[in-house]
Amino acid sequence: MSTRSRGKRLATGITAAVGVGSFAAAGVAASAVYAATPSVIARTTPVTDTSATQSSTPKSDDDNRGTTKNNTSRRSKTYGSSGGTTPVQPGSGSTVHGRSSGS
Amino acid sequence: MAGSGRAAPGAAGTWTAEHTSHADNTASPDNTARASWTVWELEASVTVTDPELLAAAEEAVRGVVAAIDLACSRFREDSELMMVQSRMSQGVGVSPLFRLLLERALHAARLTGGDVDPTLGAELAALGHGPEWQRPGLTSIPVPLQPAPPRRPSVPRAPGWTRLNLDASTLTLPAGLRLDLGATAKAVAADLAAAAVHQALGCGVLISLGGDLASAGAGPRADSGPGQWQVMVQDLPADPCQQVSLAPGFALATSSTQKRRWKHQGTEVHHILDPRFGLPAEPVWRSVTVAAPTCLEANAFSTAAVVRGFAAVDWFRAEGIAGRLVDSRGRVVTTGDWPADNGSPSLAAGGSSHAGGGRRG
Repeated sequence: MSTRSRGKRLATGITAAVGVGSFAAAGVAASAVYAATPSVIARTTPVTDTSATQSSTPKSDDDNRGTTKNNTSRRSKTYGSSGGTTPVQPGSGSTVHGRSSGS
Repeated sequence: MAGSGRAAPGAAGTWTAEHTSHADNTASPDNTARASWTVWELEASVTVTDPELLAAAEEAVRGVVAAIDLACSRFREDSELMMVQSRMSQGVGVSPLFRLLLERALHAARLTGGDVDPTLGAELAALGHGPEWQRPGLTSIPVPLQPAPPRRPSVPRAPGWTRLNLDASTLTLPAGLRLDLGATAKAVAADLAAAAVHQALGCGVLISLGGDLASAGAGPRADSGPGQWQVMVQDLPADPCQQVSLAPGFALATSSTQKRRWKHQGTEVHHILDPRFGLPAEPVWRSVTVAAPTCLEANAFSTAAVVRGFAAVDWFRAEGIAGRLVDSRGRVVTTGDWPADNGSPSLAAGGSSHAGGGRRG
């Protein structure tokens, strides 16, 4: 199956389910999205010491997983360049691909 | 953001965007292609490194956004959030996606020491930011900052997020608290959409949902090899702008006190609430932009910086967070690895006169 076909199938699966408009159908779409999540969203640990408040906040299984890496799509936690790629550098002046403004 | 704005899942008229055809599908010299449309009253866009995959990528992004909107919108009666809201005090089961959104919102709360709190729905509604909100307030029109926000309560609000209980199967929220997942959900949507496109299609992708950007896979081609995503950072047209290179796999988010403003009892208010008081944070910063590994983190930090005010500079520097903060006079402060902007009056690299201020000024 070509990548294009796989992409279309994923998109169709999600949008069709949502398009039905029923709660149950939305659940199907949600599951499809969720299923693709753990391996691609970096799990991080807090950078702020919130131990005083965390003790009263139940931690979900998800929050106990620690950092999950996918070497091709996500990087492990780093807010600076130490130990990893510098997230942002001066622009090249070439074609702009996206804009970031407040919302 | 501590309180999500209209620019978030569930904004009225969200899926009028479904009928808005994207008019600027374009291919660029670096062989990327971009499509854009309107969602949540904001611009959404997807840029891919293989133009052949653009249509499939857009379709996938729209699907992810639609699923999240249906899960957590405060602005549609058929969302899961609205359907279970009244029963949360007794404990309710939630869908996998809704659970994920809750987990991510709680993660943002922990990252920021509670400055981003997902339980400010009631406070936002009390300020007039809810389903009954009138459309004229939706547009992002700059308005004069008001010196006198609504009076703060004498006793700080008890943190709501620490009272949210999410176990393996049940969500419980004390009566009186209302969820608002809007902002973190938008960031999560960008993360999920980028991941979904890359996973399904294999190309590099940059997603933008109202200025919250997430990327996955390889960056665009450059003469010297793999390139980086070029992003223009600017809140309003009169604000200082800066073009930056975003490393593939990273994300960027901007929070603003200049947009999503409306009048409440004669006073201009904005949508980023200080959880301690349930009222708009003092607008020390016009906007704050952060780069981080995920859009959720970038959004959490940028929102929390608005809440923390001047103290955010020291916080960002201590944590090594790459941030760009624009103050009320348009001066720029950068932190972490954020590059100095030679074209604007940057106060970068520790030279900021702002950094000594206390929390919320």
